Amino acid sequence: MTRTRWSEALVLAYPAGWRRQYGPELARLGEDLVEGGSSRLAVALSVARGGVASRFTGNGMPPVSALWAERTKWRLAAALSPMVIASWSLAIWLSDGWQRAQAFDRIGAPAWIANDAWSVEQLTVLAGLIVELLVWSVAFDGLKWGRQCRPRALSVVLVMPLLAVAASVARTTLGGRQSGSHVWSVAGGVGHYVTTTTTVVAHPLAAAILGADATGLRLGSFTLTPLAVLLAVRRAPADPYLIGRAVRAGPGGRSSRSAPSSPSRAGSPGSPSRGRPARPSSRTCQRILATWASLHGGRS
Amino acid sequence: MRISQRSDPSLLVLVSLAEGPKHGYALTKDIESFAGVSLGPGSLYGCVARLEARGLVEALPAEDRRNPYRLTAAGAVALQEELDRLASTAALGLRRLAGGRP
Repeated sequence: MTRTRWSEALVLAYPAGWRRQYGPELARLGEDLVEGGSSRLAVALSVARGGVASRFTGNGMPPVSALWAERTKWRLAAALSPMVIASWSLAIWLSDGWQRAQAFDRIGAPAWIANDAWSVEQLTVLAGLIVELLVWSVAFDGLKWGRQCRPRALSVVLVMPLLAVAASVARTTLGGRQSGSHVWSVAGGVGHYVTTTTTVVAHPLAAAILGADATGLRLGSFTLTPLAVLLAVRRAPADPYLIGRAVRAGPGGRSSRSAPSSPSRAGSPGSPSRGRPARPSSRTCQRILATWASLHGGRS
Repeated sequence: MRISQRSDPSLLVLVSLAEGPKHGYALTKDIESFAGVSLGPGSLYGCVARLEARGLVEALPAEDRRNPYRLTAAGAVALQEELDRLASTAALGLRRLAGGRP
């Protein structure tokens, strides 16, 4: 992967609208920093955190109206609440009791991973804890400030639970190591390992209390929680950056980037979308535009 | 010993741009030199995006994917107000420290 490609891949952490405005220059800054002696890992972590935060808080989006902030604030709350309530209540209800601090003992790594699996799993737990704290911190930041939160960004939280469910199904279907076949044995081992590690990665705090191997933790939180969140975010609005630009420019107008007040931005090299009119891409966006137009007479 | 390890990146960016237009890398290095704070690209651009949305900074034409930014008139006013507020707070604190010493 060339330098340009890795830096541009990093920028994918940001929402599309944000990338169109700042993506090329952010990628270039990452390359410059690495050339200047910065750690590529540090640059990647900074960009990743900024991207996740931007998806949750709408950072960088023009402040459009209290209407948008209010709608998205409650949507985010609605998306988060069932996740918290469903995962914990089902995990407690279906598990075989409170098993404090038993998570590491109950992981039971496959035999073919040998003894170093212990440290691998510990590192995975730590990484998962960091990821979860990061996700929740930016989520609460979005709630706190009531900015243009984007519930659909919760898909970040869904990735690993869904992987755990898939691994559980695969493991059950394939029959694991009991089948006698070497291929199925390896597949079962991989499934088992992915299941246990993603369990503790996705909800390390819950796993630490209830035990990573608790049936309820897997079947409850990792099956119904994604469904609850998916239901909550199904009606999530389109990219808030595009909506914000469209609202500022007015229906059918041009985005703020190409407005006369900032002529230097329009059509600048390295930013192919600059100067394009922003178009609303969903019915929700159309409703917001209509409300905005009725309140402000179509002024930008 | 520093009481706060996290300076306000917005203020640092505005102070850096008060010297003249700078692109991302120049901003990072300048802030590192005068404040001792190493801003990551994510933090820097989050801050720049906020400031641009508020009309405190604006972008100049790009050069090889590097977009210089400059302080707007509103940004200069906001920076002046913030620095005045900090200066008065600092002066008050220093006066109180001097008065409270045995």
